[in-house]
Parts: sequence; C-alpha cells; structure tokens
Amino acid sequence: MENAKGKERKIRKRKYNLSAGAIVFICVLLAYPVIHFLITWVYINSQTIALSFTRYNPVVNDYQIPNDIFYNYKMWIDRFLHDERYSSILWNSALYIPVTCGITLPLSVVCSYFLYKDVPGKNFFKVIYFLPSILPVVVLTMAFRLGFDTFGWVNALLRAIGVENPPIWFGTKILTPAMIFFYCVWAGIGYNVVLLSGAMARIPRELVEVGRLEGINFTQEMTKVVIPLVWPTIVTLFTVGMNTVLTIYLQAYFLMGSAEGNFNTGTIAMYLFGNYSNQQQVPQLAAFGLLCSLIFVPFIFLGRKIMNHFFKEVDY
Amino acid sequence: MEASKRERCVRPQRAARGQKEKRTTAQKVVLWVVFGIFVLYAVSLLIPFLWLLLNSFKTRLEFSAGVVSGNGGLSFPAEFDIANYYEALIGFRVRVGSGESASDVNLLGMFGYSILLTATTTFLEVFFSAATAYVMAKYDFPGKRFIFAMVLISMVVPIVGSLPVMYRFMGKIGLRNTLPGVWFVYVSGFGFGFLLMNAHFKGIPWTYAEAAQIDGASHFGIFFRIMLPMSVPQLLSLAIITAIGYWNDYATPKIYLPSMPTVAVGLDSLTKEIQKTSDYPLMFACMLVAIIPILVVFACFQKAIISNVVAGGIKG
Amino acid sequence: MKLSKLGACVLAGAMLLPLFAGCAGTWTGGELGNDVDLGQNDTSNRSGWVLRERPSADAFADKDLYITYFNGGYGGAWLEEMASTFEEDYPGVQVHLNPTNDVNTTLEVELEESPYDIYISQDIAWEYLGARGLLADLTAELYDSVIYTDTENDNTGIRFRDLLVPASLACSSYQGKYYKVAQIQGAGGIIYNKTMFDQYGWQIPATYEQLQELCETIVSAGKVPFLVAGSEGYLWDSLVHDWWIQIAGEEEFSRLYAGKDKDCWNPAVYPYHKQAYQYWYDLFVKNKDRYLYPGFEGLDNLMANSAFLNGLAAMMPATAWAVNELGKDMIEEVGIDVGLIPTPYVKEAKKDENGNFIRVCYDVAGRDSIVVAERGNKDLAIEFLKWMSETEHTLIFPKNVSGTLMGFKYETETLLAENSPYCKFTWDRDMFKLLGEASFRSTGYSTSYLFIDKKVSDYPLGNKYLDCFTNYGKPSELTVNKIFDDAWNEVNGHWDSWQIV
Repeated sequence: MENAKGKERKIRKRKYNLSAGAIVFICVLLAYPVIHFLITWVYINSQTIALSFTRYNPVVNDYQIPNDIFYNYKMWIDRFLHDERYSSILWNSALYIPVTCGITLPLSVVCSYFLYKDVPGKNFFKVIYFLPSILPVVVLTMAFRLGFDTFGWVNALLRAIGVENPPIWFGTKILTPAMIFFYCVWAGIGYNVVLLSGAMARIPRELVEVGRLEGINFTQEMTKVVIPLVWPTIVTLFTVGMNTVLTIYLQAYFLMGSAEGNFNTGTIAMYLFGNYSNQQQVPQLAAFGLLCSLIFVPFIFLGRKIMNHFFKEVDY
Repeated sequence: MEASKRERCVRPQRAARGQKEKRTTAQKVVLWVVFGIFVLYAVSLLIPFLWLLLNSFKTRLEFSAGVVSGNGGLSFPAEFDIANYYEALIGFRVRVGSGESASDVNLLGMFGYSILLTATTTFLEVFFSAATAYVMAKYDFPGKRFIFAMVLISMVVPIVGSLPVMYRFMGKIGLRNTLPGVWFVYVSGFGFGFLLMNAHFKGIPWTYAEAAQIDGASHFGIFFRIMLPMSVPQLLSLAIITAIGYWNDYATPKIYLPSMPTVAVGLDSLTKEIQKTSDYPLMFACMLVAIIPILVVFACFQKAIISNVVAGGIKG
Repeated sequence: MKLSKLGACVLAGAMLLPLFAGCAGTWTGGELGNDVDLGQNDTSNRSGWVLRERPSADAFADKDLYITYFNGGYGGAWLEEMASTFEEDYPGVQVHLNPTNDVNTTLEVELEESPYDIYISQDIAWEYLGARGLLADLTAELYDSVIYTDTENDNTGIRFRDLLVPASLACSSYQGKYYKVAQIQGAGGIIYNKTMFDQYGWQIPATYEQLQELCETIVSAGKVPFLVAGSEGYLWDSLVHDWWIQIAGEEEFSRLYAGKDKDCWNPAVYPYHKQAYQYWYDLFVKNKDRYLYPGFEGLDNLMANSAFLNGLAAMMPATAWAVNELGKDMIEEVGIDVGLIPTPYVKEAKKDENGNFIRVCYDVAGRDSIVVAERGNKDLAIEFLKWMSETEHTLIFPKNVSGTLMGFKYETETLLAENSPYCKFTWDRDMFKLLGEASFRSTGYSTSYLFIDKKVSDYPLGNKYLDCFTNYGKPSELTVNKIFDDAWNEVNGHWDSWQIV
C-alpha cells in the first residue's frame, strides 16, 4: 500500500514540474476559493479585529479609536463579570455544550445502537426521527411552544388526568431555559441517529460476533465494541456539538424571542444576530464576538483533544 | 473490476446479517421496552403536527374560545372548512423589496425562491468543493500545504463577531440583497464538502488520468470527463447534505436576501403578519402548507436521502 | 503541524495589519449640539385660521409617493384613507403604500440604495440615520413652514411645529435638527372589560387605594382582576411610569432624561421611580396569586388577548395601542365593550392650586416615527406631511384607529361630540378625555447620547417586572431595594467611562 502511494507521488512530478496547462488548470480551479477565503476570512476578520478597537463617535458619525484602545474589551469583560444580562448570554451558550454533548449525543448513541440491534420498525423510526432535520425551525418551534403554552394541549391533558396546577413551562426562570434545552434534545436526536446508524451499519459483523460468542450483554456490547468502532463519528458529532456554543440561537430565538427578551435566554449568536444591522454597535459587537471566541475556542479544542484520547481510531 | 471487488467484500457481511441473532429472554424484553420508548418518542414528534392539522380547520373565534376554556385545542372543528388552506397557499402574501421594485410574495412564491436558491447554491458549492478538493488532492504546487493548513485552521477556529462587518462589506460591494451575493456568502469551496471530496479524490488512482493523458485529454478534460463522472455518488451525497442545510437556513437569506424570502424566512414573516389578526388557525394552515411539499419529497426519496446523509456524514 | 503554526502566524499577521494601517482616525472631541427651538405660537383659538395655499401636483417633478409602514399596532386603514384623500386633493399624484412587519432590518440599506420616500414605524434609529445624512432634515422645510395664518392674531403664521403637542415636538430632534414627526400621541393605563364591570356593578377606581379595593371586590366575586402576557413585561410601565411622574412632577421626571446628572439613578437622592415601583410591587407582586390570572407568566401576547376577550380577567395594563392589538373586529365578534381606566392616583401625587390631583401620562407609543428619506422624493413627502397636519386630515387617524391620536393638537370637543365617529368603544372616549385632561405627557424620550447609545435607560438594569413575579417568595426574591441599589451601583460605577463626548 505504502509502496503504491510512493509510486503515485513520483509519477506526479514531485518537484513542482508543472506544465503550463497544469498551472492554468490549478489557477482557474483555485482562483475563486482562494479569493473567497482571503476576503471572507482574512479581510473580514481582520476588519472585525480592527473595528473592535474603535468606538462610534457621534460627533463625526464615524468609528474612531478612543483614548482607551481596549475600551470595548474592558466593557465586555466588566459586563460578563458583573452584569447578569450579559453573563447569562455566556452561561446560556456554555450550557449548550453539556446539553448537546452530554445529553443529545449519548441519547443518540443509545438510540442508534438499538436501531442497529434491529428494534422492530427501525426503518420507520429512522424516517420519523429525521423529520425535524428537514422541517423549518419556525414550524417546529411554534408547534412545540403552543403545546406547552399555559393554555396548550400538554397542560390540558395534565389537567384532564387530575394535575391541578400544571407547570408554567415557558414562564419561569428555571423552567424556560430547561424547556429550550429539552426542545434541542427532542428535535436534535434524529440527525445524529441517522449518522451514527450509518457508521454502525459499517461495522463488520465478525467483530460483533466475537463478543456475542463470549456472552456479553447489550451494555457491554455497546460500550466495549460498538462505541469504540464508531468513535470517529462520535468525535465529529461531539466537536460539532461543542461548536454550538458559538453558533446556536434559532431555537431560543423562535421559542422565546430576541436576546433582550424575558428570562435571559439569549445566546452569543443570538446577540450578534439581533444587533448586526445597528451600525453604531458594530465595534462593540466585534469585540463581543472575538472575546467570546477567545473564551470558548480553547474549550472546544480541549474537548476534542480529550475525546481523541479515549479510543484510538480503528480501521476496519 | 472495481465492482466485483466490492461485491466480494460485501457478500460475507450480507450473509452474516442474514443470520438471525439469537437473543436471551432478557434481551428480548429490553428490545421491546426500547421499542415502546421509540414509539413514544416518534408519537411526540408527530403529535404537534396533528394538533396543527386539527386546529387549522377552525375559525379564529372557535380556536381562541376553545383554548382559553381549557381544552388545549384538542377538540374537533365544528366544520372542516378549507378556507384557511386556500388563504394560506394563494391569498396570504408578504410584501418584499422597496420602492418601485416592491412585490407581493405568497407561499408558492416562497417555494420558488427556496428551490432557486437551494438548487443554484448547492450546485455551486458541490462544484467548487470538488474542484478545490481535486486540485489539492492530485497536484503538487508551491503553497499547497500552506493553503491546506490555513483552510484547516479557518475551519477549526470558529470566529464569531464578523457578521456586522460582513454585512457592511456586502453593502459596499453592491452584493447585498442579490442572488450572487448569497452565493458568495454561502459558497466557499473550502468547507465540509472540501474535506469529504478531498478524501474521495485521494482514493482514486492517478492511473485513470494517465490513460486519458495518453489519449490527449487536457487537465480540464480529465477533471470534467473522468474524475467528476467517477465521483457522482459522493457528489450526490454532498449535494443532499448541503441542500438540506440551505433549504432550512434562516439567517443568511434573512440577512442577505430579504427581497427573496425563502420558505424558512417567509414563513416567519407570514406568522408574524397573521399574529396581528389573532388568526392562529390560518397560521397553522400556512405552516402545514409549507411543510407538506418537503414531506412529500422526503417520503418519496427517504431511502436515498437518509443513505446519502449517512454516506456523506460518515467521515464528518 | 509546523505548517499549521506558520499558517496561523501568517494569518494572524495579515489580520492585524489593518490595525497598523490606521483604518480609523483618532478621537475627535466636540459638542453634539442637542439644543433646538421648542417654542410654539399660540394655537388655542382656531376660529381665524386660514389654510395656506397648497401647491398643485405640477409643482412636483416626481408625482409618485412611496410609503412603507409598520402595520402592527395601528393597522393600515388610516393611511389608506389618507393616501386616497391626498390623491384627490393633488390630482396626478399617486401614493403607493407598503405595509410590512419589519421596517428596521433593511432600513439603512434601503435608505442608502433605493428608499421609500416615507417610513413609518417604531424603533427607527432616526438619530443615527439622520446624523449620517440618510434622513431629510425637516427643520426648515417642514417644521418652520407655515400651514395656517391666524387672521385674528396679527396674521401670525401657524407653523407645522405649532400644530404639534409639546411632547411630540420634544422627541423629534437630534443635534439641533428635526428628523422625524411623532406618529402618534397616546397614554397608558388599564384596559377593562366594561361589559363585565357593568354586569357586576364595579366602579372605576380613581386612586391607588380604590384600585386595591376593586381588586378585592373582583376576587370576592370569584373573578380574576388582572391578566398580562408574561412576555410583555413593559406593559407595566404604563402604571409604574405614570406613578413616577405623578410623584416626581414634570420637572424632576424630565431631569433624568436630560442624562446629565447621575444622581437621578440614586434612589437616596431621586426616590420617585423607586416609590412608584414599590407601589406596583406591593399591589401586584405581593398579591400575584390572587390578583393575576394563574399561569400568566407563560402566556404570549396573543393568548393573553384571547383570554381577556373571553372574560378570563377583568383588566390588563395597557398602552395606547391595546384596542388595536386586541382587534376591533375581534372585540365586536366576541360582543363586549372595553374601556380605559386612567392610572389611579397615588397619595403622593402632585396637586394643583385647587388641591386636585394633576393628571399626567407616560406614553411609550409616542416614540413611533415618521421619517423622510433624504434620497427619496423628498419634496412630495414633505408636502404629504404638511397636508397631514391640516386639522381635517389629522382626524382621519382617530377615525380609523381606536382611541389614538397623531402627534398633533386636537380639539377634544370635536373628538368627544355626540355620535362622534371617533368613539367606537368606551375606550376611545376615555382615552380622548384623558389626553385632553393631561397637563403633562412624556414619551420618555431623551436626546442624550447616553440614552441613544443605550448606556442608560429609565431602568438601567433592564425590565425586571417578570423576574419580580417569578422569584417572589423564593430565596432569590428580587426586592425593590435590590433592583434600585443595583441600578445605582451600575450607573455610579460606569458613569465616567460612558461619557463619549
């Protein structure tokens, strides 16, 4: 195998011995992606960094560098430390990590495992579970929210079975965020299940057979055989889950309204989405986003690193 | 040649799968309990839509009187009137654009925009991902490893906060609120598709290209006539995964293309519009009308969609 | 890995370049020049007024007028009637209307590229857009233009600015220029189910104590006094801010909005807001289980309105647009009448020289704006606004929108006349009476940049109403003392760093 690779490399003119045709080909095919990368990543991010050190000056109606160049950063650090309205944005966002990686993902793994073990109707379940991934979030959230309204059908059913004071699902400081997280788990399992089921379906039966001959039960088979074999997919889903800390907002936005809404259910991405068109706020939004990235990116890397240490990638 | 090799690999696995796994009574019980839980979860995903359906035939007075009386909207409508559905599909419109270019869009129009945007963007994203991946996988040229490193870094280091700057930039270059503008925002050629296609092209032996070169094919010819046709299954997988993402995306079309509301964006506007008249049943009808085509497409192609998501997502 | 690090360094270097390239200038100091002429000519007697001579449509090169408006709250019927009447008065002119539920997201882009001529909405960042030159400066061409001549008063010119109520004039200028016209004037208070009140013989409370008694009476009748959507906490401002103005008086209330004295957030020096808040807390939070509909915290606005219409509670805190939000046709379909209870007086409320309480009102709705795009058909847009200010045309608004007036001065007798076309529900009559009686009305608007930049507000730490309800009786209970102490600490600790000019 290695040998074949080596040969292939040699054939491909190792020392950049490229013909004019090859150079034109490479340039044409790479032109757009490279220009796009330079603009949307290098230029836009550099502008964001530069603007984050400015403030909008109403005297000249433009952005200027204030006397204290770190004004925006200091302001956000102060807000994150001392102002509940803003610290809650960080906390809310951070909580999506345990919810996505600690609840949705493990549940998806268990779900996928039993689908893999041929639970009756497994194909039907896969289709139904995948539905939330293809339907507009606005429909799903609205249907969910109305069900849990004070006058919703959930409370009507609870009253019908004798619960006198059913909970106010979207009306208390604790329960409201919990309901948003519950929604994320409820609607988020399906996509993971489909990916994990695919990965599990690729596991050679012989590997599982060995364990079965040794008489291991479901739990042992899942934790000692199946999970290690689909670990790369789990790590990928875990990383995607970690990234939600910086990207998630639609669910909370449609369930509870804007970042400044009630019960402080805002997230980092929601704050940015809710204020992007206000040009006076651009410098402080830029600083806000960069600071949040600085805070959470190390955790994302750490999480991925730890996950990669659990099992070595298995080739089969 | 290739096909027969694959056959050989797959056959023993299929044979293994054909054998029924012998299970203990305890395992059977566990599987049936799990089946029960799966049914409950599936029902929980379907109930909100049945509830929407039931209430979409009611008049607004019938609905509001019903829910506040405590029935949670779980009663049958006095009359199954399809007026709300007619209104939802044809009658109800939102105004988009400004000045002389303003126009009204109903749900049918939104479907048109969704299809146009999803189809064009998916095509471009798949094409550029394939092109970039192919060049990076099959050619050695100065700066290649550097580009690869930069792309990887940009993919794993999520930076947030640049949205307001990007929004301003798109306005400055005149691409805001244009279809090419959204293409530019979406299509990078260096995203998830790049990784997927890169792995794929690396696996295709260069000997195919050599044979074509001997026949006088150019670099472009090899790419378009040999490599791309050989990659149709992978391209299809990528297309389905990206298309689902684009179809459901809310933020990008909302921010960068307000004059062409897609279903995901327009539905939000429609619901806000209808809320002003307290006409919940009409809103429910709108939602159902919006999701029915998606469900029909999904029902027809569910096997292909799910298996392609699996195939595409496996290496994630 | 090495390459990754190199790549990272190069990228970081490239991204930091703009910092050194001086992409933004150094700080320029200066004054914002907020002062503007708020003087008005006497408009108390209209009998000798003669209308200006209107230009004909030929005076305008572009005869198409495009107006976009937020159609929540007040609907679009009033503007449709105005548009058609304007077209009749100016043959050849065409008015195109665009109702929308989201003016602001694309506003700045539209103003830069292809704007409508007039925008009507809440929450327009008109100060910033005006300062950027995207909105027309209306000072000379509209505010100083003469609409009527008072032939009984030395032919004094009655200018556009004279036709506006003082509160509307005061909330329309920034950096010395008028950029907007206040769309409406209204008042907050309590909306009540009059049919239910009549049925049970309940009396309208005039004082805080009477309101308390009324709540008890309603509870003893087995009904629920109040209902409000949990998500709409700001509705309580209608009561709390009214009580604040009642206690503080016009001058002290306005002092906070000048944004010049941080002590206005210090409850030890400026106790009025806190006192008002305490009144609200004592009445509603402490009696939440008896006075408020159970589960109101989990209701959205629409469900709350449905519940009110269906008689689940007798009253709701309300703003000027309450009836329009409930839906005039819905109220009729359900078959009830609704009325407005002006915010009852607290005992510290200021009194006039005769010992009567002074009627004041806080009006959050008064901040809604009408602005003209600098790059639009400015001349025709301004002509439309002048035409709008003419007495007969100002009446088109209350004819179509229940109990709400535009930012102009109205003659209360006309509005309240017998068989008045402006009074459909008891609410309308109550509202017009209240607006006629009020000696001071504030929109809570400030021209101070501290307010515009959202560094301070009339509640610096955000709206805490719902938190008070949800935490009451728990270890995390939020007391009025804590809210105001925290707010003062926030303002006191940051005041200097907030000063930008």
